[in-house]
Amino acid sequence: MVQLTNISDKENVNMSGKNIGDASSKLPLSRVKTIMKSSPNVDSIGAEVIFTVSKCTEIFLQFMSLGGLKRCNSQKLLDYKGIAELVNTDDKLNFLSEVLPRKMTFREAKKLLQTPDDDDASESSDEA
Amino acid sequence: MAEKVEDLNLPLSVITRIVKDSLPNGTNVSKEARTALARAASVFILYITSTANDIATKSSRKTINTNDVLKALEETEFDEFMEPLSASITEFRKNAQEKKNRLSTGKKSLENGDGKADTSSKSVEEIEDDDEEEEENA
Repeated sequence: MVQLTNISDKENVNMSGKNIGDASSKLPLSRVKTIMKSSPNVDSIGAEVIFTVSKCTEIFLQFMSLGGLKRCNSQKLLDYKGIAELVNTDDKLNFLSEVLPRKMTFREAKKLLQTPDDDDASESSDEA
Repeated sequence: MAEKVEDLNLPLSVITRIVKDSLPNGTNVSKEARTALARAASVFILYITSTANDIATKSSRKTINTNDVLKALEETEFDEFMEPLSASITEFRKNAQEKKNRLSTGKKSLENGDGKADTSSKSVEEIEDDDEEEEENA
């Protein structure tokens, strides 16, 4: 669908079917900037850096979606379980493990709480 | 800048579009999965920003440049993103250069301009106020 837009876009479409390599950001750059600035000790950020991070996040979302779907029971529906599974099995996604924890049933949580020797597990079930 | 917590959320509609574009046609995405991915994206931005900021600080620079972001990706093991990303950066620089030329040559270059370049340079304009030196640094 992007193929017809203009000549300068052509190479990007070839690079990746999902037109990842183009110069327009799908995410709102002003919002990306706000999020970046909320990080401590970050004051001014150049336009190119904001664009780079924004594009990077698009690629990240693609990575998460495809990886999450692979871990879903049905290949027709991407659900939370698949994403949480991906987050908790891929080491480089460790930074998300508290944001997107694996879900457990109350029964499972209770069982975990009752096994005092497993410290880590009981802690995380507390938070969840 | 970020006065409300909602200011740190990315619009769900945009997230959904990006996610659906990445998945095979006809795949559905549950509501919970969408909000989870939106949250993950916000946290990812912060994660990369703070890693890149550390890299800049280590080389005693105050502002993050594009190379810091690329190094941050390497450090966080997301190096697989670098290839598609560098294509976008090249495109972005080309557009920025074109825009510069257009401004200096005036109306003449209007005919080369296309809608796409215009929209992207518009959004660049909005945020360019901070500092433009970054482009040269990178």
